[in-house]
Amino acid sequence: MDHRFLLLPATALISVAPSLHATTYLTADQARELMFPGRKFTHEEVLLTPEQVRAITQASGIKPLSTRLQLWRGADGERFIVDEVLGRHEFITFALGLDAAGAVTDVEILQYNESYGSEIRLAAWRAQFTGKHDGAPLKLDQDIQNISAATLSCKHITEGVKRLLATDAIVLRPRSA
Amino acid sequence: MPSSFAPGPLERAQPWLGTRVAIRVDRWWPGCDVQAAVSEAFNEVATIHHLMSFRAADSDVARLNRSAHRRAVPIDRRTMAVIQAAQMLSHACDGVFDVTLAGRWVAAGLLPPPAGSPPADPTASYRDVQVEDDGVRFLKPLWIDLGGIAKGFAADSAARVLRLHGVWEGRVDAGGDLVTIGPGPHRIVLRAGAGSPDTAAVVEIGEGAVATSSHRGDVRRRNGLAAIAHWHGQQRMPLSSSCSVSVLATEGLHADALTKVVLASGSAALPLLAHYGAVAYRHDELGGWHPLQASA
Repeated sequence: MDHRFLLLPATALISVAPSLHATTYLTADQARELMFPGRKFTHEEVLLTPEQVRAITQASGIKPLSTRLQLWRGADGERFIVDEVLGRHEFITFALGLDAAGAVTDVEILQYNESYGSEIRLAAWRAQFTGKHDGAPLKLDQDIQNISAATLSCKHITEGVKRLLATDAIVLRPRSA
Repeated sequence: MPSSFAPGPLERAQPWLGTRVAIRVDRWWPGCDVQAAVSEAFNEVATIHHLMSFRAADSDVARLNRSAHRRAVPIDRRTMAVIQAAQMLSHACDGVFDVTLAGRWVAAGLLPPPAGSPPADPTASYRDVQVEDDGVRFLKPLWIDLGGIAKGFAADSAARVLRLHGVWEGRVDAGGDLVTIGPGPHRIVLRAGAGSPDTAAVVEIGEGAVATSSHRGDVRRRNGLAAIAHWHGQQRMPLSSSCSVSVLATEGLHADALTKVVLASGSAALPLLAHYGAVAYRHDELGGWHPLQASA
């Protein structure tokens, strides 16, 4: 396997503090257009009552993070929801597409905020690579966007989808039925 | 080389295979519908997820675990390809990598028992998996789990779809298992675990794959039950070492699976890596990142 391996001493990294790194993949509008091309949607902000929060928590086993829900309704009863999930090391905004019957059509991650090993994205850290390794100088003209790491599970999104399906069944679907 | 490119890049991510799968497209041929290409690549990943899920009752894996000890079970060509590759690797490493460990994982409480399946024979191994013309047959009741190889295969498959649609440069990231498209050079940071890295490692590759597996405590804690693939197939026991391994290979499927062999076998895996045209780097707390080399 043809490749080059570059190693950086650790001393350059001491002053770099971990921080949050965010990757934005899509806006809500872009995701909705991908899921439901050319369809008209109307936005509404749904406020969950304490009773609804209790019912959703009971049905899904997961308590909603917020009582506000960003919902878009399509002309034929489709629903598009943008919501967030909070894991131990990440904060994820995702979009869920539902057909009129409440079945999942699509899930897209809109934004992924990660605090796990995010220091490798920092400019100060990246700058250490320029001309500091053995052999030919390496000039980074863009972020290193590729990271190979042990797989981190994202079960929180699965739980978030489960919670939104319960929310849909309890709060959203009866109005469109 | 294409003479002109539409502007890029474009990146999307979806949750599949228990992790975040991110597809980035940097360059493409004129006329390529990039969003459609990425959507179709995600559809392929979703199909592989559904075919190879251990938990879903209607997956190929679940049907095999239920019935393959009684008769050859026909399965999708993609599941067949993964099982064939896993079997070749298992034979080549004498069972250090073994997809039939799921019975042990269920017994250890790491996986839920598959519904409707007979109890797994504790003596069963990859040698009891038989690939036949019309499907796969188990010679004993056993349970397979393809979690140690399917992510790499999914990344390969998504990359293939993207290429077919005219994507010329990009990458598929199946939760840290990367497959690159185009000659690059693609720079990839190898990450061993949480916290500030003690040693920073970057690899540059052309078209190929990089996969990383870690048996470090912080990664195991982060993932909970997900770190089950790190068992020694021959010894049928969890690994005891605490290190991370990155493997560079031509295909994601091999890179993914070979990380487990290197985690378990260390430098004894070098001939196998050479057989697959792969190389490995290992990270441990004392030595930092270093190429896998023959023991002195």
